Amino acid sequence: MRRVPAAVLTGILALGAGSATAGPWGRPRGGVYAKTSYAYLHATDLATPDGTIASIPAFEKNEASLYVAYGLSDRVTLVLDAIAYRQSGIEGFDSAGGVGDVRVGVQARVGRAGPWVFAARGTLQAPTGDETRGEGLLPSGSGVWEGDLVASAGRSFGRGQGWLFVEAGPQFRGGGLREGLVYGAQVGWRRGRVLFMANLRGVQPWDSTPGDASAGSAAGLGDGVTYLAVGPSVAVEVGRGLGIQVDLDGATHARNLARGPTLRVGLYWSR
Amino acid sequence: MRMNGHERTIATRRATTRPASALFLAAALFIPACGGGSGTPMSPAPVPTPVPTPTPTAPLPDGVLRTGTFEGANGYFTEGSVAIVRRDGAHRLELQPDFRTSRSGALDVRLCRTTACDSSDLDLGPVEAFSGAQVYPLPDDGSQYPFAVIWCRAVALPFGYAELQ
Repeated sequence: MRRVPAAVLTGILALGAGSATAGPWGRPRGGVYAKTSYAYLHATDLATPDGTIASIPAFEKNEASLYVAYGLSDRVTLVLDAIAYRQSGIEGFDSAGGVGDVRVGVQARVGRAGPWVFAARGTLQAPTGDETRGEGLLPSGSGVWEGDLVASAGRSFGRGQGWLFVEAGPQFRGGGLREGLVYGAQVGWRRGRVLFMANLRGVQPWDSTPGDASAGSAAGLGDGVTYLAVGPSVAVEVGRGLGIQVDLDGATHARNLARGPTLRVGLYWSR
Repeated sequence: MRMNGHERTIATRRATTRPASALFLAAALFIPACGGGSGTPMSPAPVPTPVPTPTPTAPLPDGVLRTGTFEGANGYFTEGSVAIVRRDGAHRLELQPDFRTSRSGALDVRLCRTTACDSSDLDLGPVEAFSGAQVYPLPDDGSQYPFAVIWCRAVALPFGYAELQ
């Protein structure tokens, strides 16, 4: 069986920064992967709790993130994923920012079967952000403890130049916010120093009926948030473990968040 | 036929104003006939200028002027009833005990000409609570506004509205 090359892992983990997807491949013992990224969202559509799309004044969100993965062993990887700063604003209303929520997770490889690799990941999100900013509509965090348990399966193909994975699991949310399913998938291909990826990720609450707790709706941190985001990524290795990655995605099947394209630019380093 | 309080007030006001109106009409007829444009050298006899006497306005009776029932809008949850009430000569909008709306920030109570409020409508201030009875003072009876609206100031959308009848 061909193993997924380290460079491919770099691209996969880079996508993981600031998103729910990471794939089943962890870091080797003592290996480190770090990425800092900036994401920008612009939206004039609000997906309301019942899925109605309403036009709103321009909503913008800026996020600076830090993602670090460290191989505790060849099977277990420790992950830190923090929104260092989240700023958002609605034209004609207000603008607010602050430290976002911090996520800590552990991923363990649980098996192999032929070309397939299987892993499980548990993540806990601490409410380090402030859910009250902008009268509760421009929060820097959800204000509640959250977490998820995700199972993932992936494999390489094309003589190790391509890879794919799928993953899914339950999402847990405190404070009475509705829980649901988080899921993701990726197909990638490496050509020289450049990695091309197609991504899919989403959240689907178990109960999607409109509720009465819609705070934080534009920011996508409130109750009943639903989306399916798809888009491409490109990563370029610039040498000595350094790389630059650009992601673009847009949400569909959305509820209770501002819907618009998100551009993410990141600089990563690994050894 | 029995008159209600409001009809009685109007009838009383008409009865009170009738002598003054008659005097004013008589004076108006008299002046052209005796003066302006007639060319006669005679001076008209002095006529007392009629001065309309202010009519004492009886206070309108207290009561419920209009009511409505909220329904949600744009996928947001709002329910319960609302009333425009006159009490002790002042007007107010009353959200009734069965009122409930989405737990969101930047929600205002407004009286609007349509469910899509604009700056010319009447903003009564932020929603004081997401449920239960609440009172918002009005500058007048608000009869020019057919809708009570729960309006999200941030995204400029109604979260619920009630047609007032």
